[in-house]
Amino acid sequence: MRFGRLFLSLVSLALFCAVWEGASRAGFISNRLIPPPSHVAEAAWELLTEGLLLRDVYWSSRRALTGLVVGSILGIVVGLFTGRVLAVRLLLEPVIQVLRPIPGIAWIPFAILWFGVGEVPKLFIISLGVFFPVWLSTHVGVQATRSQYVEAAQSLGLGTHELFYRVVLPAALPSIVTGLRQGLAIAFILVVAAELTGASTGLGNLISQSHLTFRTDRMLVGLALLGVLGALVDFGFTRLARRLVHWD
Amino acid sequence: MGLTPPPKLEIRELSISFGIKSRVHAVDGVSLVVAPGETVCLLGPSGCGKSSVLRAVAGFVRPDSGQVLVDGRVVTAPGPDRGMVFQEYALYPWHTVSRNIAFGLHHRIPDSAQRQAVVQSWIAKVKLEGFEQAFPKQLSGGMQQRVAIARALAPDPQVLLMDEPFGALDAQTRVLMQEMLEELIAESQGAVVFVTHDIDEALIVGDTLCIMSKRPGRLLETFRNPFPRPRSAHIFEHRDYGPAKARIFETIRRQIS
Repeated sequence: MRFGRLFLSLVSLALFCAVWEGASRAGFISNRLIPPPSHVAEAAWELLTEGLLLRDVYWSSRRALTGLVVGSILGIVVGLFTGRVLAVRLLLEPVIQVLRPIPGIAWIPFAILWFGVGEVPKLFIISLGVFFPVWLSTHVGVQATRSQYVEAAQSLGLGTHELFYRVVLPAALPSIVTGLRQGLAIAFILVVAAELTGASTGLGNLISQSHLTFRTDRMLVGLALLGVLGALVDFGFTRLARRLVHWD
Repeated sequence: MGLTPPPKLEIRELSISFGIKSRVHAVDGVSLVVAPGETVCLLGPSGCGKSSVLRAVAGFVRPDSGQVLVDGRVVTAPGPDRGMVFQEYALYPWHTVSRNIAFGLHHRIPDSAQRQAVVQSWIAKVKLEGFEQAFPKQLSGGMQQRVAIARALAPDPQVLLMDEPFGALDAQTRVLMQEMLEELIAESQGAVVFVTHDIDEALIVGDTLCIMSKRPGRLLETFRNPFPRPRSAHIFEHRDYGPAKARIFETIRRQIS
């Protein structure tokens, strides 16, 4: 059954490429603007042998992952407190709610101004973008914790901080995981945005550099890799999440 | 008179109200004494404040006035001396049956092998052998409530508080659970306070039946259960059963109509 579905997925992708290739060869679409899969594959091989492909995948993944980890940890910690401690909530929630709607990419000029070029502004933008959905889902998850879970634990002798990690955190975990999945998607968007505006490595840089030299085949290699990478990471994450919150 | 043991649980002139803008007076001057080993059923129409009394004993709500004493000490907050069983079980869905039962034992029994032995003995008492590694959602309602009872009793509380614990179960399961509870607390020297609106249930479970008025809840009448322990569903066949139930029902009926 599982292999059957994997097979169908591959058939679906192959069919998509075949139609594209056919349309390209039949002259329906311009080879220069949208090169056919065969050209893209050639370009990918070229990039691979030059060592650029793996380097760019590595750097983009590394940046996205670092930002995801930093933003998620901050989001979970702050969300646990704003969700559970009234004073912290009153202090922080309005500020976060006003900052939250600002699109991550809007911070890029500031990030460059504040942190210059290099890894720090990218880390800042990605972490910030990841922070908000993870904070929100943690905050909401904590607030929705069934009061009887807490009361039962208090009657079983749990102290305040023990209550936090033995009851509130696991009770909020299904909600947190939902936020993490959103954060993952945002990390991918922002890593490309950050790399497009100033980087010497990464898939975003591959796309912008290839754009300057009008190598549309290489640009499409970048796009395809982002698609495949994103889908694989999301697939892996959902499987991991299902094990992590097996009770939900 | 000197033989009367000091009460395990004492409720003195308890009054409780809720709400900030318009206060709802839920409980009005309830006093109650529960001896060691005694089970008291709080009976009454829904919304009469019987759960509020229980929650004040648990330490979840702060009364406007009055006191709750366990072994002579005033209750100010929830604590492991008072175990709680909820109608909706409130098991931790992320933990197995074993770990739910062990949940309140970590401080009491730091050694994990000893703790596991205690957990295993409770699994046997509530007849859940073979389900140690199951998760709550894999169990029926009755089984879940047995886990919840074991979880509450495992830390050996002085007082067991049960808030309509069998209210969500079907009639047959309910009777079996009542009988199991009777066995579990038979040798206990703790006090049990059991909230219910089911007279049949109160006559199986309770040594003493306290009937509360409609809101604001006051204590109307106290009955000694005419049937001696150990009680089971067989009391339903006894010729005194009908009259006893009718008498209690009349008291409650006057509150509803």
